[in-house]
Amino acid sequence: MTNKMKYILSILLLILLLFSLGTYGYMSSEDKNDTYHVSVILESNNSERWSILKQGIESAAKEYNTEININTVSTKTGVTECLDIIRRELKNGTDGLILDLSNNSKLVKELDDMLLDTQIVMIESEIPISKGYSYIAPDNYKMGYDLGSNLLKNKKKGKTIGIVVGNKKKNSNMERKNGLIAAIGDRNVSWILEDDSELTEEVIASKMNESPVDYLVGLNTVVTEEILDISKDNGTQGMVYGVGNTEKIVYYVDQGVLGCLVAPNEYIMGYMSVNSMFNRLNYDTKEERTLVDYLVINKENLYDVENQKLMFPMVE
Amino acid sequence: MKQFKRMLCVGLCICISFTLCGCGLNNGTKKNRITKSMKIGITVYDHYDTFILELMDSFDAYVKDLETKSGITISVDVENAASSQSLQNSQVDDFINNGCDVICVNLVDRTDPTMIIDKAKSANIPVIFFNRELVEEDLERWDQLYYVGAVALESGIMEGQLVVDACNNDFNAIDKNGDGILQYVMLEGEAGHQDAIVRTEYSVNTVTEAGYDVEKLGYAIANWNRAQAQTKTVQWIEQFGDDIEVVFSNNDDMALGAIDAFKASGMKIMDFPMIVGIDGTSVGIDAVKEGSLKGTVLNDQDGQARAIAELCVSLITGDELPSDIVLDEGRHIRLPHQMVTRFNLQDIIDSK
Amino acid sequence: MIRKIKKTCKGLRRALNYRSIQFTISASFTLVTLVSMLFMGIVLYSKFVSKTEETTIKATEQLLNQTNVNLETYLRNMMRISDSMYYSVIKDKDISRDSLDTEMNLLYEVNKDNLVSIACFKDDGKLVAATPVATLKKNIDVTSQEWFVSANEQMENLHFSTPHVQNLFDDTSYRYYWVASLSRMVELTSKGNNIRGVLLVDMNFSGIEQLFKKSNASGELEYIYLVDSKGDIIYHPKQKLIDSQVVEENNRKAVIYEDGSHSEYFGGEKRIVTVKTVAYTGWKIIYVTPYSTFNMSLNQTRYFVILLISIMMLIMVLVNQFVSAQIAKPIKRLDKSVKGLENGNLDVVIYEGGGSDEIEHLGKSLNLVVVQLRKLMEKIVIEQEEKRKSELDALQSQINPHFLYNTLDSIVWMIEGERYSEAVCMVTDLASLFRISLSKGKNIISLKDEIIHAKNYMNIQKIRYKDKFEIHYEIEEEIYDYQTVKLIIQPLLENAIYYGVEAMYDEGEIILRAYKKEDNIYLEIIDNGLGMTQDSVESLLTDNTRKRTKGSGVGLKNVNSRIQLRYGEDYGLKIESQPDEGTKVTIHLPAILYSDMRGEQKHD
Repeated sequence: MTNKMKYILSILLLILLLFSLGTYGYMSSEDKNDTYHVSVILESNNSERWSILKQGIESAAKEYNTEININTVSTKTGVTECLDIIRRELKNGTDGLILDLSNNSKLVKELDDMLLDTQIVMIESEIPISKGYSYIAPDNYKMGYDLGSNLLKNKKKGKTIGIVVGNKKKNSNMERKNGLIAAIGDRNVSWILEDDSELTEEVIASKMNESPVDYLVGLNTVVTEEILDISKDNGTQGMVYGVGNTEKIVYYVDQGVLGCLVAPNEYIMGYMSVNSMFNRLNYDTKEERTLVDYLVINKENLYDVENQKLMFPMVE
Repeated sequence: MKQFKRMLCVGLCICISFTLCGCGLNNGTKKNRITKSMKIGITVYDHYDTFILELMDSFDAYVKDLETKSGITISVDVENAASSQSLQNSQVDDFINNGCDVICVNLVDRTDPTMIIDKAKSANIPVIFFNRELVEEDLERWDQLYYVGAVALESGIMEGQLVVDACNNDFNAIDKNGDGILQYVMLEGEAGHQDAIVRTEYSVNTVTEAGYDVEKLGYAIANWNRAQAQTKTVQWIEQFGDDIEVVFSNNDDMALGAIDAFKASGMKIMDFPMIVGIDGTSVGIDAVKEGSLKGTVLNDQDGQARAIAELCVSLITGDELPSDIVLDEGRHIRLPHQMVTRFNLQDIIDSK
Repeated sequence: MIRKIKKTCKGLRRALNYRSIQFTISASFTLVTLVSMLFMGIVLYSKFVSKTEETTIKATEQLLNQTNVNLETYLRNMMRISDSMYYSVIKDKDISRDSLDTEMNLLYEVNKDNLVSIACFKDDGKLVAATPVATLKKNIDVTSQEWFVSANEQMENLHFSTPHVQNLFDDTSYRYYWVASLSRMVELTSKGNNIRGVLLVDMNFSGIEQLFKKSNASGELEYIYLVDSKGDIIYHPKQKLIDSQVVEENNRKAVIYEDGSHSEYFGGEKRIVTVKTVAYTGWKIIYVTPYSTFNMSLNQTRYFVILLISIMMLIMVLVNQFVSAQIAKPIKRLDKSVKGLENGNLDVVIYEGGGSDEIEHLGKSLNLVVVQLRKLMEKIVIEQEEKRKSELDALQSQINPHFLYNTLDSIVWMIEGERYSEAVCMVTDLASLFRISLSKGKNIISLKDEIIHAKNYMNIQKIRYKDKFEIHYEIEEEIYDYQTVKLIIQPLLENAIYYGVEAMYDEGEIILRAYKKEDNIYLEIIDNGLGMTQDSVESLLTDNTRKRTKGSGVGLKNVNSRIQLRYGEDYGLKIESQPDEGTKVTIHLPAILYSDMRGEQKHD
């Protein structure tokens, strides 16, 4: 190969390099990122329960170019429905699961078998699967504790307390119960109502009839709403203490039926869950545990400027 | 020489790999990973409307059912148009851009579906209108437009019939002042709204055609809203007091507002005038149970929800509709109303 | 490693020294192309970038203005409602007996898309009238609410509150409204007395929200938000995240900016922030455009430009190579054929086809030159041949066998006839003759010697021919010193004897005349013999094939040739003859002194 050929070839090579750089850059900048498909599975008993969480999820989904499919499992049915949904979602090629489920050993075992590549993020409550997952929740124990200390502050001497825990297989409920008991001690507690699945209104009502108490404490949104349905006509101010952030609950805070409410920031929980899922799907599989803030609300501070924004999220 | 050749080879390899990568990236993203899924976009005219709320709840339940049965992932996106047609139009736009397979529209303004129809047609996405009916000519503009709902005047007639039946049964219980004329007030849903107009007219007409005389004491527009109806009724109570013998309400929410007003005035339920509503929402049914609402007309929100859900799935998968859902003229599904009173209440509750 | 680099550098340098035409052309073309393409690419790209920026900024300002106009319209609308309510209704009524409801309802119905409620309160907080809902919440204290307080603080103004949740009416459907309150102090008339009150118009905040959502619909990186005069956020697309402190916004700083565009650095990126103040309220609309929005669309363009330039450069280089090859090929071929010439190969045909006009012309000219050269070479060869031949002839003629025999015979006869003195003369003359003939091998002798030679010859011939003829000499003295080619007179005299006078019955007469005229020497040999025709005269000097047997064999032609070979064509023989009259042969020589020649080659 003569010098001349060498020279020509080198120049050609240089230009070819430039060309391929251009092609690569051009093509790759055209395309958008992969759209991830994420399924959310939540226990819910009505459409309002998770509306704030859904807003957070949807806002994040738009930002991270993710497609979200939200599924709700009734709080009263067993594990089968939940497993069916998960199986179906996995079959349809979902990339990740965001879960809020009860701790059922059969469920955990099945999940351990089913979840291979799927990324898991748990919100509000966690279950002990062997695969690594990120966990985003409020400090459940502290929530219970704060609720308890508020109750203790307002409680008049000699009045009785009934604690409605709800689904004792839900980790979050148990942690809150522990926090609550830690705050109030168990002297004043007349009864604690808990079950393997979420309690119905009838069960609570009948328990109230059976042994009425002066204060009813609900440890999650579902039971709190049920307690409110029972107590709203009662008229006694501040006899309900609860957890949650639905319109109904907020209404009754305003009415004064709820003496104190602990409201976790579900919007952020939803947002962070998608954010965390996005990170996991992009190979950052550190097991993160993120704490979500909560507010302690009562009738007096409900309309405070900062509280207002979180308790009355703008829904059109 | 060898060294040069080697350099040349390496350089060529780099070039080729870059080019291929670039092209590969562009094409590779178009993989279709979800094998079976569909997306439904729903825009409701006002998601605070109790009827719509309950309709959506039933819809969610039916969708979940269908998901389990068919194994297809169905994601539903519900948007609130907050009584703004322009907002609804842009929501439909978003649905189309986000790849919805079916769009369900609960029109804010029934005279203005043009933009929605045009956009859906050019994107070739079928539209199911529900509950708020559009003009027949508009529905015929494309063969992929459907309507699920009820016959509006049927509800008005039935509401009137409720009063007629009660009068036939015991006129004097209703005609409190015994002048043989039914004094009534009318709570109207919305100015210029199709259903409101029809219900208003046919309810009273039915009564007069049955031979009873009526006298309108007052009417007000309460925007389908319970609290607003309550306010208006309070004003009437101040003005007319016991003279009010019948309260016609275009829907249950407003009827409940009237009931709230009467309750607040201290009147006992058995002294209430005959209050009738339309919808048959669960709160309405509760009020019927309670006796404060004398009757309502069940707008089969459950049936409608089921019809919409089945129709959505059928449009995408191509499967047949279940046998009890029939497409009228290939585009209408109209579910019949049903009168609800204290007497047939249990049956209604059982059938839900 | 370093060695390799050094080697490549050296190679490059060697390559650069490689200065063939093709290389020069292609290298310079390529360089020019590369540089100019690069330059053009960069210039165009930066122009594009700045244009894009301009356009984006303009679009931003337009959007901002539009949003502002919309918002102001919205707010003004609310103000109109409040005005109408006050001036057209409240002022006219006495609240103790009149109801405000009808008019309020009407105003509400007309504006219900944007209104949540209209309400009128007395100074003590009691409700006068409200629409559409009039049931106040239980135990609500209106007088402590912000809109009430500020309305009373600024009596003459309308007061816009920041958005808040309406905390007045009881709505059993759990519904709540975000509103922006427009409140003012009003003068109520009750029983003819003036009472202070507050008129509250609650605007549906979702109207404002919709406005901004629409403006934010385009593009994900840029967004528009609204703050109040203190910098608190009224609306922000990421409001909930900011409230929960997940995301930050630079609203505190932005609110201080003047209206217009500012560039700022926040959250790790550079961005342009455009501010517009809304009338009546002091609220500010802020539009944020991060620089990365420009880059998004520019990224693709950048790569596209690189792609385009590289393709163009590729094409250019290839075209370069081709064109330069085309130009250089004929030159190369010309060069190669000239190399052949260098090597002495005269038979080479110079390439003269193709290539540019100049190359063709060069080729043709070179060919002509070669042809000329060849001809010249041939001519030289022929001339050399001739010269050799003449010299050879002349050489030959230096010793004439016939003449020698005859003369020796004569001498023997004389000796036998006891004419010893005549024999001595003859031998002496003969010796002299041959001495001069040989002249030690020289070709150029003095005219003196040449004439002595001629005289010697004539002496001998006279004896042999027994005075058959007379010889007269008319020679100028001065010519003796000049030079001449040897053996030019004797052959002419020989001719004169054999062809001129020998056959004559009468006494023949031969004259040898020599004189100098300017720079010329003329030697004339005249005889009155037979003469010859003009044709014969002409053929004498030209006909080479004529071989003479008599005499010395050196003909006129030979003499002429030798003179011309030596001195050039201007000199030589001239023959004039008349049949029966006589012949005159004139030898024309240049006047060159014999002494000039000394030292130079007298040999040839």
